[in-house]
Amino acid sequence: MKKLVSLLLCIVLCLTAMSFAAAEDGEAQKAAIYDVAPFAENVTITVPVYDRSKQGYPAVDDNYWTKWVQQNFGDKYNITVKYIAIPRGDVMTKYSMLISGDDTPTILMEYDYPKVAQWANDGAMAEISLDEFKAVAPTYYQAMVEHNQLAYTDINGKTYFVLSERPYYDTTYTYVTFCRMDWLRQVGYDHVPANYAEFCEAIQKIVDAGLTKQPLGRRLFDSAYAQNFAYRDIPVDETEWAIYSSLGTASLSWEPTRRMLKRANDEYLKGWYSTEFELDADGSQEKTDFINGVTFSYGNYMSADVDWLKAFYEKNPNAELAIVSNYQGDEEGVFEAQIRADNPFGMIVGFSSLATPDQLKAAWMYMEWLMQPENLFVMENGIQGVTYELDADGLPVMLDYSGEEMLNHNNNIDMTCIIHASKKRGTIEQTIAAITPKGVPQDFTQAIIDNFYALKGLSEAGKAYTDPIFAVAIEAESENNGTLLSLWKEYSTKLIKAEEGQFDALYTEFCEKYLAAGYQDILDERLEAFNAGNTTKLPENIKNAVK
Amino acid sequence: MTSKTKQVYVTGNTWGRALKRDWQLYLLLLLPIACVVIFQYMSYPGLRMAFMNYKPAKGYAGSAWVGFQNFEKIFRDADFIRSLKNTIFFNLADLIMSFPMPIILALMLNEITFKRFKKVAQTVLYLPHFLSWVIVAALALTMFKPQTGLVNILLMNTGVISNGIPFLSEKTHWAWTYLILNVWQTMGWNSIIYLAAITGISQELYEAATVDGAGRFGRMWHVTLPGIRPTIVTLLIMTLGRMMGSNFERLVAFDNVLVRDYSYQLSLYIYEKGLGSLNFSRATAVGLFQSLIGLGLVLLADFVAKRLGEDGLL
Repeated sequence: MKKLVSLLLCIVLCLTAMSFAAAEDGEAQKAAIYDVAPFAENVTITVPVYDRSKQGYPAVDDNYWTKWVQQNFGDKYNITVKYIAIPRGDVMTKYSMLISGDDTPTILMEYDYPKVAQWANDGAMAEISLDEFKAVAPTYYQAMVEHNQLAYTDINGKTYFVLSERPYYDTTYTYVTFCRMDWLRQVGYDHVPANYAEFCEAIQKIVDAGLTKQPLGRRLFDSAYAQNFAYRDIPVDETEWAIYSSLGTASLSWEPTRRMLKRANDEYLKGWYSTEFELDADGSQEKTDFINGVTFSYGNYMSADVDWLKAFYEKNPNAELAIVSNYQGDEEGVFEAQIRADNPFGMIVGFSSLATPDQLKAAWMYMEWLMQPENLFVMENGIQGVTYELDADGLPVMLDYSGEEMLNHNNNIDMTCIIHASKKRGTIEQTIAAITPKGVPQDFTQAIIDNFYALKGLSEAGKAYTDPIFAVAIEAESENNGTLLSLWKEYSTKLIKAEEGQFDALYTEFCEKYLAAGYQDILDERLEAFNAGNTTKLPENIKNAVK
Repeated sequence: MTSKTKQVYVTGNTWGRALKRDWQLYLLLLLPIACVVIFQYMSYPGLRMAFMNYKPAKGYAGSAWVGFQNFEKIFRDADFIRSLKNTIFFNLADLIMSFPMPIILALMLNEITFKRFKKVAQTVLYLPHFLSWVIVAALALTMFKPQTGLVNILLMNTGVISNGIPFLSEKTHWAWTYLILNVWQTMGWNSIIYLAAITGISQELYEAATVDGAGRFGRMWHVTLPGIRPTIVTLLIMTLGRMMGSNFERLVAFDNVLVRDYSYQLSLYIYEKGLGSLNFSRATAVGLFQSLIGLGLVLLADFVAKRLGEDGLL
């Protein structure tokens, strides 16, 4: 018996010792992974930052805040952080050049899934372990868990991405379209048009009253985004959604796109657009026309400092603006208010396949460091008393400052986008108050809040959804999207400018050419991926949405 | 004996002797040769991309060889055929419109005797060369927009036309605008070479022609033009070598969606289908094709020139 007890004791002791040893090993490993001590040898990481070529802002890759990151993060951990300017309008070309020159940035990031999928598929991105990432960047990882983003980290069965947050992604509240309420009042309206019939009537009255000859702004479609959500059937067919709905390639041959172009053509034939809108590739003319009081409406993203709105009021001091209704385009059988919700994530972040383990770790440390509220706050608000002041609620209010410490475009968003796609500030009301344009005669805070809740209503009614995300790379898309984009620009312009009665024949001809130029291959490949279960699915509330 | 040795030394044509004799000149030549070697020949190994499915991130070692597959794809691609046709057409049009103009201009400038006017005229004519195509296109846009361009506003306000002329947004008008602006931009600068060649013509020939009763046009036709003929032939051969090329900057600056039927040329094709889509193999294959055709044209032109009694280029 004694022997048996001794034996059992021995076994228990041995097991206990072994478990302690194992635990110690684990702790040691954990400690090693959590080790955020400075690197023994300097590690250089390269971080992309969008260059929007905006006047009045410092260079995006070398300014007070890039230096601040280096001083407060880089120097502390013996890491050199280099920023690489990526032209916002030509992202893929710049990345192509960097990748081909073996200068792939340590971090590669983009908002569009097809682009990062292409990089991953071409071998430019490193396969990563989320466990390792979690060990180095636990806060970042936890945020991904909380935002249900882990499902989007893989492609072709391998893990490549981590994802930043996109607050309120199911609404498009930061984009606001304004219209000339003073013109509407002059032609007998006390409200903004609530449907398309009323809109057309009001526009015609405005033209007839001689307030303008060219009431609507339009520019060249310079991206593959066909804004056809409101022209889609309700509920949208899931297979059609899976193969057509995309930011990567415009869906010229899809019925909603035809409806959208047809309406634009009708409006063009009424003389409501500039006859040279196709020469306005960057939208500057469209913006100028609104500022100069030529056009009825204009929309763009909101922030505390909206230069074009200020310029508008300077040119039109007696003007009154209102926010356009989301239902302005409603027309039975053609258009019903629906919006393109964003992805449930902001930046899709991957890492260079050329990065060393130390560079990978340094990049993850950079993200984790920036994620910390105290660092993020400074990056987004700057210095108290210089770039911002605190309001009564203790929330920062940005000051109009243009000295050395000034923040870059939209509160350094192109540096902080790796954490989240837009600045958060307490409640949605407080957030909207922060991004409502300041320094203009009208206060739009409540109107934008109302608009947010209207959009939220659409979302809850199943009328806000995004595009499918593919877990496999669509090879035909990488192969043909450059050609198809240029064809889309050409065909959409020609269709909008088509002469009376020519639209349908032209549309048929262009669709055939477009499909033959590679779009059919993309549709086939997408369908195959959808049938194989390699895409996200349409949420049930969208499938059950009612008109 | 000494004199004989010296004579052999002077007329000797072996490399060693030539180097010893003119080493300063060869030293001067070293830098341009190094540039040519580094920037032209050292990129040649990259041509293998044309025969691979090259992926930048995988490098040469990791990318697969695909033989002539890239060329097959290109030649089956309707966009390539369209861009090829446009490239040839517009290069021929450029040749017809832009090649003779500097010669005519040089002949005219050469006849100006009022020196101050000549200098001013030359400066004004050379100036467009220093404007990049982006600037020229921006100026053209301001001048020629159908609705808000200065030229159209002027013509409409004076009642000459009722609707703006689509200089930049209708393909035939665009083609003329595109070609004429090239003439305007290049003719002044290109005339410099001809003016330099003209200065090399002996004055005695002009005097003899005058004695023989040749007027101003007679001297131009019988003395000046034959005097610069070798220069013309050389420049023509060099221009023919660029027949398959297209100026990317010029095309991008003038491009818009309504004129793609004409503006879509090889450089845009390479950019869109090659670089823009990370398809470097296709871009290289088209580039190689362009170069080989260009080389063929140069050799052919050189052969023809020699058969016609000219010196040729090679």
